[in-house]
Amino acid sequence: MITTKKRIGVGAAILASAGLLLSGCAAPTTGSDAGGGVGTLSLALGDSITNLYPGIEAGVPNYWIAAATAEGLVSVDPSGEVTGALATAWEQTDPLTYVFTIDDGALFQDGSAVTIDDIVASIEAARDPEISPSIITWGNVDTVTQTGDWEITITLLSPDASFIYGPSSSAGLFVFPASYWESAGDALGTAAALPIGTGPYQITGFSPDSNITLELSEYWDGDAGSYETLSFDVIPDANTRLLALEGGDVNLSLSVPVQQISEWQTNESIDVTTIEDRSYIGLTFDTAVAPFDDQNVRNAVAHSFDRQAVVDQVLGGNAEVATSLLSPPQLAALYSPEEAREKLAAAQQYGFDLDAAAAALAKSSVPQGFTAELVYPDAYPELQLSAELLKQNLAEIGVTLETRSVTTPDWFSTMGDREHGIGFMHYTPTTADPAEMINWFLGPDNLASFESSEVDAALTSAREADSLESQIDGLLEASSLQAAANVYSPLWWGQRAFATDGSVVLDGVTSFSMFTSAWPLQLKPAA
Amino acid sequence: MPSSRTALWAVRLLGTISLRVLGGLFLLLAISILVFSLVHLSPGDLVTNLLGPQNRSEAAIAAITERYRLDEPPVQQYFAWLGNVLAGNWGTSFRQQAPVATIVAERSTVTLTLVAVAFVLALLVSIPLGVVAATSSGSWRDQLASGISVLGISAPSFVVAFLLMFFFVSGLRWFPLYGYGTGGLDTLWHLFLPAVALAIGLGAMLTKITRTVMIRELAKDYVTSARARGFTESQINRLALRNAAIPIVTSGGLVVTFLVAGTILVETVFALPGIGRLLYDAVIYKDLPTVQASTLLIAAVIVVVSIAVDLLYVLLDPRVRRRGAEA
Repeated sequence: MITTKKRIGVGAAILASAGLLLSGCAAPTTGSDAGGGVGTLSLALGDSITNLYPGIEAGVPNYWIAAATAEGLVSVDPSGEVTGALATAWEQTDPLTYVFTIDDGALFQDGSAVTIDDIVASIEAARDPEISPSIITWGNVDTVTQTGDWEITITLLSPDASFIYGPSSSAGLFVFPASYWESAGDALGTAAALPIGTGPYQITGFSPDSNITLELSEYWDGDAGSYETLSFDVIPDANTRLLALEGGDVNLSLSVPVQQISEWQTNESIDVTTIEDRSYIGLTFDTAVAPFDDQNVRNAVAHSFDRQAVVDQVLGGNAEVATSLLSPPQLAALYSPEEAREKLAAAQQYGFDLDAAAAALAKSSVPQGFTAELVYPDAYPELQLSAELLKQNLAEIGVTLETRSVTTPDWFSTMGDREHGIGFMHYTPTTADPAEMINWFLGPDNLASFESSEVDAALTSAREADSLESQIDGLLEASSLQAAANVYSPLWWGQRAFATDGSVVLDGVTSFSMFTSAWPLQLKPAA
Repeated sequence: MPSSRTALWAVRLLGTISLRVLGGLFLLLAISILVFSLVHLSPGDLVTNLLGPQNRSEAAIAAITERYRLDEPPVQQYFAWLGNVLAGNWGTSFRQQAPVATIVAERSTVTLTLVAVAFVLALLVSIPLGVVAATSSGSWRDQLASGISVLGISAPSFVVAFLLMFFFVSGLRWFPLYGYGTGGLDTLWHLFLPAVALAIGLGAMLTKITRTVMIRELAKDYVTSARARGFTESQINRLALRNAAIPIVTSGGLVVTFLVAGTILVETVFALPGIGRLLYDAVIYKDLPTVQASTLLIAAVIVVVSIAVDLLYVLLDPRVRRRGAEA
């Protein structure tokens, strides 16, 4: 398969996970009229940033900044398809080998030319767990070799259809000069060693937890940016962000709490936009922990969750009841939204039905009920309300659910701890790879202690697929098989909201384009 | 001889200060052990915090384990940290991957400036208010001052912060909404509202203390005697205030330490990158070097304030100096 770099590049993929994790993006490189931005756009972030290299700190905002300033070999277009970034073309010569042709005219933001050595050094840094502990996309890579003046060949240990999403700045590759990797040392990603990438914006100022300043790079040869300077302020309190937007201190807030969307919308001067962000929120049952090793117990709990009520009343309709581990936008390259929803809903569902829940519990190993603990992260009020709602419903069938608020890191540490039989999952894929989440959820040593040779076969089929269609088929099969076993109970697919003061618009935003490619190029002054 | 008495007093004072400093150092050592233990005993693990729940790569886990010596016994880890600190190396932040000394120095500048401005504001308002309330005890002015004090003590700092934002930023637009400014007067301008939010609680406490102490002083015999000798009310108030200064200063020194807790909320609301937010995040992420450096800095400030209060006590009360020289 040979793919040529597209001329208009706005690729994207968002992933956010639980406030900390991954996301990635890839940027457009080629285009026309570069440069020429005017003025400063002030943006508000809700989460802090303390390091600018996502290999060290992999929060969603870190990827947003990286997406605007750095590139990998490939990127993602608005429909989720892989497109070129620093690679102008690539070819998969056999199931294990990818050959990338590198753009021989790309420049870093300091004006120096991008060389093969720079790219190889960046890949090696990404592969080194000491330098890039947060990057996980290179584990299946065997060799990285320069095979021509402007050619790099990467070989894999085993076939993996997801690999192509990895060498992008929405996942695991951020190309900086080789000299930067050598000189940065322990200062990598800090204010003392600001990264120098090839993206449209250059990082010119960084005060951890406070401010990041980006300026349009004069060496960017892609689509023109509308703003000369982007000034990001970290404003942790949502009410302060709202006041800042109302008062004109901020033009665009990249963080709007989903539960406050209606409150923000009451101000006529503020425009709130929501987009599907492909996030998955669900319950995870650990089948190694009794009584959740009993499917009847899992079914009873799944039937006790009123998904529609949460979507309508807790989330104000800014979400959709989920029917699968996959989400409709992940199938967008192959199916229309309606077709995608139909395919996803074909898996077994466990709708809200307390009678069915009671019947399932009666058939279980604990017909008289049981007690379990469900922890929820304090950063997600909607999960707290969901936990309390589930607690009330389960009480009606004789199950005692003890709920407890914990910090996000503590919540992470309960995932797969083999002590909690039930837990929340809140995950937003950063890449456009449809297998990103499923490979984790259903792969080896998964959170649910779930083992199934049929699921393994389906995942292998998806990994070895030679087309997106075959990959999706394998993933749908795996998702359907897990639904039958009900080890992960999907609750809702989330949305991300952002708000402007009316002075700026986001042109052509899609689930994939926002924040994961060179998204600032989509920012335009309002007419 | 007065000069030999003064020298003796100075030597004794120096000895006292040395003992207090030594005690403070032992206190810091004890705090470092306590904090180290608490961070180790708290739920969660550093590897998951750094890698996230998804990354279970053996190579990544091994790299983290080796880099942060997580496979060593906690006692060994503590002494390794202590050895580095004694050598002047506060280590690297687990979360930020930047030198802790630099991070804490930057952040503490914000917070110490904020606390200093808040303390000065509190003193400027609360002491006159407390004196007025005491000198007109039972009157409407006293009632008003007491009412304001109760309100100030009761109001949570973050609520006060939002009220201030609503009136002085959104309404009157007198002050910037958030941030630290660009330095100098701009920073003071940015810190004014956050400092007021902090100062209200502190000032209310100091007003109550000043009022109480002043009422007690004004009822003493030397005040009655001064009145009998024809001192004006202004002179009498100054006399009483000088004697009341000792408990006011002592209490002020103690309550200022409580400001540190309040800074976390105020720094969050006003988006100030101070040490309160730094410490909170560091605790959440089990960033031990940052937690240690931050808590020890705060503890050191408290120790220094405590010693300073003792010195002021000596300076303000001639009886203490005399006793010290005669002992």
